[in-house]
Amino acid sequence: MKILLIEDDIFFQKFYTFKLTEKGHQIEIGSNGEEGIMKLQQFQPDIILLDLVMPKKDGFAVLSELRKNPAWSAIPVLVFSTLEQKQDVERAKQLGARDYVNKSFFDFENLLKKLEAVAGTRTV
Amino acid sequence: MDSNDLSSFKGLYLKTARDYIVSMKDNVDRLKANHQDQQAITDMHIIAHSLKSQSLVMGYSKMGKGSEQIEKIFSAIKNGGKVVTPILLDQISSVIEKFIESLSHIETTDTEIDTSKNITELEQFLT
Repeated sequence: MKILLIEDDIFFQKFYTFKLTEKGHQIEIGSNGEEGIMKLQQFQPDIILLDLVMPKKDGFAVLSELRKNPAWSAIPVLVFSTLEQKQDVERAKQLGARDYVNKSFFDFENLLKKLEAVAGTRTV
Repeated sequence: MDSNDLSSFKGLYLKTARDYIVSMKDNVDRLKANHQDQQAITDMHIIAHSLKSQSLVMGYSKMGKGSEQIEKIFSAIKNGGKVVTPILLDQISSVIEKFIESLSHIETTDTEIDTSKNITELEQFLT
């Protein structure tokens, strides 16, 4: 699976890249919302993993931009959240995110299941 | 190896956490010079959010909770509900020193130091 990871935190960039690459996935990274959108010019992901709190265009702004562009609006998005961000997850879903992954604790099998499930929801 | 085993990421966590703490200190200095430095306020919110997330995922709950409090404080300041004060900056500086100590403890013993008193002080800022 081709995954665009839009995440500013270097720890999580390396962490998720290592873990997901080990499972055979191809990862491209956008270090903030602006860079994530720019990556879409050259990389066609099967799914986007999106952090919500980032500098230079946060996750909500990215979601808004994705849904406005016909070339990108079909790409399913899984957002990262932490325990206190329930309202943010709801807002993200209203903006088009398909599901979320809790960033507060790591459950790799759950992440893989969600990736498979959400990637399968891509609209044509 | 258990796919949820994170021990191999400890070195990465320590490096990135220490980098964040340096940035936090820089932003506290900027805020001491100008309580209304919007960029420093935004940066503190993002840094605290990131430090919280990676600390929690690595199982360092005290670091996570302390960072979460700082994140909440700067979210409130960004939204106009609270303002930066000299007392707040002193409390955050104390928490940062505790973080530095805790990271050294984590490095050698994989356990955190007690930061509950500092966290309680930060919680009171939001009441």
